[in-house]
Amino acid sequence: MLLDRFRAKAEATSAAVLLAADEDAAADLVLAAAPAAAGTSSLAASFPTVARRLAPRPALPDAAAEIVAAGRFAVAETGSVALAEAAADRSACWLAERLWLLVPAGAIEPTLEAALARVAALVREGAPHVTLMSGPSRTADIERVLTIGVHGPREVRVVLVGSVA
Amino acid sequence: MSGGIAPFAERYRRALADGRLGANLLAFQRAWRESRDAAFRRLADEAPALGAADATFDAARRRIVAAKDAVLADPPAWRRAFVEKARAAGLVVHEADTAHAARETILQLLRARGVRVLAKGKSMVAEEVFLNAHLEAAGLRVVETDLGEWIIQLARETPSHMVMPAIHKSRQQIGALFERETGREVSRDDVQAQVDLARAELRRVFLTADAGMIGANALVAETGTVVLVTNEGNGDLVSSRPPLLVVIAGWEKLVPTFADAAAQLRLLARSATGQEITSYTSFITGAEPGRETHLVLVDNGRTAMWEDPTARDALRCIRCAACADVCPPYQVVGGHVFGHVYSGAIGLVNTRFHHGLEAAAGPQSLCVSCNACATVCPSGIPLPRQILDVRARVAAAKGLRLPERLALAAWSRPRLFDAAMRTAARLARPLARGPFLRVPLPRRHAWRTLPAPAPRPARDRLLGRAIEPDREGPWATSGARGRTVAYFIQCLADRFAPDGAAAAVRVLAACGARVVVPEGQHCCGLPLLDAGDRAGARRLAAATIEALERTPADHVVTAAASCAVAIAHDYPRLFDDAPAWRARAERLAARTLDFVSFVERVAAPPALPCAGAQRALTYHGFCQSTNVLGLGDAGRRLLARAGYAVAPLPEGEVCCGFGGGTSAAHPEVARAIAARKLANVRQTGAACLASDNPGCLLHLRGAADAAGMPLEVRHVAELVAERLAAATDGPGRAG
Repeated sequence: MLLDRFRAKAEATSAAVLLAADEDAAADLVLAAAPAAAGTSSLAASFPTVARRLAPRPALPDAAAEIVAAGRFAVAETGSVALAEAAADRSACWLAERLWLLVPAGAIEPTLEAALARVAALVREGAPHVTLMSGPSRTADIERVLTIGVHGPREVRVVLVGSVA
Repeated sequence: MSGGIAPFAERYRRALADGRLGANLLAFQRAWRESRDAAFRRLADEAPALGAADATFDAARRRIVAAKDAVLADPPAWRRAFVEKARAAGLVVHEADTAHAARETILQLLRARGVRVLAKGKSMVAEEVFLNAHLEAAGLRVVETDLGEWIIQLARETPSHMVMPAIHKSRQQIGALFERETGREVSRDDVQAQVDLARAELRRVFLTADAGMIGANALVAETGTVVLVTNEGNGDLVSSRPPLLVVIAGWEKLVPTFADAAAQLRLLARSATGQEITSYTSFITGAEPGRETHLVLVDNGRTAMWEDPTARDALRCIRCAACADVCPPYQVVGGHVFGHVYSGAIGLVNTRFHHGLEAAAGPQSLCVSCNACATVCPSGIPLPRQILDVRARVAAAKGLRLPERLALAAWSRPRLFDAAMRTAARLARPLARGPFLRVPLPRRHAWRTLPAPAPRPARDRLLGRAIEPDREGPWATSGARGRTVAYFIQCLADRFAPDGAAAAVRVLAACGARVVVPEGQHCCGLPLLDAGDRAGARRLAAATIEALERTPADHVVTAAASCAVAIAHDYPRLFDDAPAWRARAERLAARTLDFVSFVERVAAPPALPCAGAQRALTYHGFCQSTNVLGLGDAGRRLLARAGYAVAPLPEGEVCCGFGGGTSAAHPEVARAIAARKLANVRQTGAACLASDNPGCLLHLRGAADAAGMPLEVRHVAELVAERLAAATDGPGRAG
């Protein structure tokens, strides 16, 4: 039920939601669409297999078209994914044309309150910058016309990895 | 410091001369209403199954009000708690008491680090303290990175809306502006192409800026965390890429806990844009290795606002701009006129603390007191009452305009008023055609026809009389049977629409109530309260209380819903500092009802058979009947009960534009709002428009007449009385 709700809400924010049985399947999904994708340090920590299979690079360039990061958890109520990256990786995530967010399929919080309780815990552990990311960058500042991709990613793909608990 | 904002009269003139502004804002307000309501409906439908707390607008509002009020119970303690946690996490906190201190603190901070280019996220506080001009004068390059803010920066304007700063501009204007300012060609029609241009231009700024700046949507005391929401992602870029980050925030953004922040987030996106959540909701705490993060915590009048009990609640504001998005006059003139730096109803309240009473004075009389803002404010701020308080201060400081002063002076003296009105009625007789006075009006008022004073005021027929209840007739055994009702005529109905008052009395008697019309009644004082003359309003209120107290009755009822609101809601507050009078006002308030509420809720008589062939009828609900009295569709239900078929009126509860003094001071605004109402009426195809308030009736009748629109405008009481008469006399005479 949480997975269905998350998927519906994430799609309502114009994010795509994909399922992968394990890390290898997730890497296959990413590489099939984005052979040059680069991973952030959170990816290496949370999804080492995926990180190993991506093209190795010493540091993230300014504006890699495809970036892969690990989300800490997802939020069913809003279709959001929590991201906690260090500054350099963070700006790579926001400057990407397409951002892939890998999240363990069992890590879906039901509500915004539950999500903020998790955020508070991350903050107490010392996370300086946590973001609930809900779909691609958007604006309606010109005549209230919804337009995707003003500063941040034009496209967000969430990959839920593993089986739902 | 004015920040280059032009005087009010000039801004007003410019807005009216803009041929597209009103239409753009009308489309915006309608779309906002739909998406905002849908978002809260979905919340209530979906969130409880997930186990969410505070899953309705009302519940989340209670939560955020409690959280904000907890902070407002002791702001210094909460500031200390926040600052202590924030500093422990590595944030450098500066406290700035004034706008000047905020500007200087930031300038020195940036100078000391050799900053040349500052990439800025959206911040209303930075606008409030006129930060950009100060930094630019010192030689810094400041670039706004929120698209709307960038547009108005390029145009050298201030935001006209707190959430959508450039909502007043069309894509054609923006395309031309981008070409002129960037030297790059761009389509005038393709919004995506314009957004792509901004993406390319601003990306260079993100990559090369020496420092970033953001505002804050909330400051969470329990961890010293800054909460920032954006849809574009610019806030996260300026707080990730440059090595220095400066956060500027007013201390009223404090909330105690993350759970409180959750309630705020539920309300904020839905109220601001109709979204369930913004694309990026970020929680920034302390500083990262190798990076510097500062917070400038701004007071700039907030402590003075806190010390003023009439204004304190406004510090709960979360800057969603919902108050502007439902505001009928805002729709006509936009945020450069309806407000100062802060626009919408909140701007009419907080401007005097941030920018002085003079800056707050101009827009005051634009508010029509419809109270729509109070119904959508997610922080439960009593904006309409606070605006009246500011208006009273402006009136006390600057005095009322002479014609207004003279009119109100006459209005507040019952005998003088009576003599003047009778003379006027006599003199006007040769110029009167039916209910209208056929006199040429000055150009600003030519869109309306004035009502003619009635040859015989209602008081001549009713005052001092006791009308015995009907013993027979279809409604004689209603819930009002055996009750005594003291009827309050209202000055306007008395002189200009006496038939509505007479009809209301007949209906009340038909419901089985004994109706008395107390002597000594005149005007409830609303016109004076509305103009900011509180002393005058108190005199008339006291006289009304005395007149109505003298007659023992179970209820006080009036067919002027505006007076019912004044008596039941404004009177007790008028006597805040006079406990004995306040107690009397409260007793009167408790038994005062508008006509529709009395018949629908107290009498609740049986439905009459459906009238035969009918003229097409629709219903305009007086704005305050909906927004203050909570009548919902009671007016339409009453007409249905009386056997009428009522076509639903789009935006039926939106103000008609009369707004008391607003239609005199700003006839252009009243005209536009009346036109919006009549356009909606036209859509229904109705030949007859009913309403529950004489002010609306006279205003709309005059506007329809001058527009050549054949429309009968009647008080709901008259229509009900007609059906009752037909039902009593037999079916042959229905119609």
